[in-house]
Amino acid sequence: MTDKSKIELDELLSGCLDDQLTQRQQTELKRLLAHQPEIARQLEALRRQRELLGALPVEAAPKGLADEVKARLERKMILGDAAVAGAVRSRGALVRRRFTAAAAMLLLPLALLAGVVYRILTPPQTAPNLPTAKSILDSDASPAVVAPAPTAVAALPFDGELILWTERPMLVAQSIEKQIFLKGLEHQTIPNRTAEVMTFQMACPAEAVAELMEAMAPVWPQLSDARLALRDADSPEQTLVIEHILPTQIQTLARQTAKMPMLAAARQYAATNPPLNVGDKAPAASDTPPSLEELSIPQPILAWPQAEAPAATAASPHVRLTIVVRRSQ
Amino acid sequence: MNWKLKHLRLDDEALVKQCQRGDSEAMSCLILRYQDRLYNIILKICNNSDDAAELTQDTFVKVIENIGSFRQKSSFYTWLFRVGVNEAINFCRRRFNAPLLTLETAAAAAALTDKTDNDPAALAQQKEIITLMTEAIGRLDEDHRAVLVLRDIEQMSYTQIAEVLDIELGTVKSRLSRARAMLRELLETVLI
Repeated sequence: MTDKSKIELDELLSGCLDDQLTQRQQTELKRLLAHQPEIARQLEALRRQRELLGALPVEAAPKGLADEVKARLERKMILGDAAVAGAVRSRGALVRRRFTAAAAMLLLPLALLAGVVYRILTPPQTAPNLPTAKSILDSDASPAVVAPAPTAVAALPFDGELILWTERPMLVAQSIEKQIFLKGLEHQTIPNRTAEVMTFQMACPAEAVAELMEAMAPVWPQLSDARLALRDADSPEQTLVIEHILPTQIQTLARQTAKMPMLAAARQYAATNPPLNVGDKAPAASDTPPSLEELSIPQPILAWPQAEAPAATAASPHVRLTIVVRRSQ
Repeated sequence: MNWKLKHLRLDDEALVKQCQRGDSEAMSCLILRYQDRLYNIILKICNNSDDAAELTQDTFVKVIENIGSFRQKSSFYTWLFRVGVNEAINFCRRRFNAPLLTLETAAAAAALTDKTDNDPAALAQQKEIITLMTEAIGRLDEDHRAVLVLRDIEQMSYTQIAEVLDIELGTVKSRLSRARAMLRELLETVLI
């Protein structure tokens, strides 16, 4: 094969991977795949390579990066080695900051002195009614499970455990982890990895869970099965299990604000859900060259977010979801 | 925290305008919004967390210093990423090249293809795949590495990549196909 034809073939395979081929190029590739198994093998290798690249872990920026950037900008401003532009380099802002610093230096000793005088002059107060060690030991309260979500938020009825079975647990778990990260839910999620099982415990706004499920939809073709177990907050021993659950159904359930409609929808899904279509799984490498129809490129697991949706506030009502990724039996 | 909630609801265009008017909280919000994504791209290009952190800071400093002259003809994130990726590429060009993949690591990679492996060592092996992928990406030259990272890791469209790297659409296609082919050759034992 000449260098030119190799370059043309590489471009053809790369274009196929991104679904960018013209009709003529598709025909050409189909002909090549039918007659040259080596090219089909190369295409399969490129698809696996892209899958692995997409599953590389997402790293978070070091903590305090924003503060460090601001500090560097301020240093540059004070040293005068930067041109005047932007917010922090405003000369007015510098004057105000210096004035504030000077005022703080004067007021701080005065405030401390005032505090000391106040303590001397005010009568001693009775000790507050704090719990004693004995009362704590006598109480039968068991230690509460630490939840990742902020406290003092309203609770919605949705509280479930989603179990996903797949032959590619690592890739699926990494895709989920990446989506959690992209949706900004990493601080409301407790991940846990063992050799066999990966879990993500989250307590976050219902809309955030619904959006996560929407983003996770491309994972479903990689699954051999999916099951959602819904817990009843009023009677924890009762669990409603929905086999072969779909992401759209989880979205619907998570968004329910009342318990009864949610349970009604859940029972309907449990009664009518057909088995997941295992034929949708990504094709494995085989000895026979696949046809072009069989080589349809799956949607990327991750999509570049065009515009960042406003994050749900911490005060939104929260739901609980535990995602468990297991290897197929 | 109130300012954060207030600014989180604003889009980039509004935040940039506020930043140009001297609102340092808008500036903080822009940094928080993009720091992870930018750091991740730069890390994949330069393959060193300390360098990536430093380059991410450099990028934000440079962008904020020049935000007064930003006319919003392109989106803010395209501009930010253009500066960041160029910083990373230039840094890599100055840096001493990493060693080639050894035969031993290639042989180790060949052992990782058994997807049915179900023992506790499987995760460790998968970690090794990630290491090999990262090393192999690092063996590509900067231009090819950047286009591969933007497309196959960050899932940018061809048009976005052309804007970020300031190159023609045809160049994006040819560089991407070449980068993928080179990486496939480097990882041949893993991918077959």
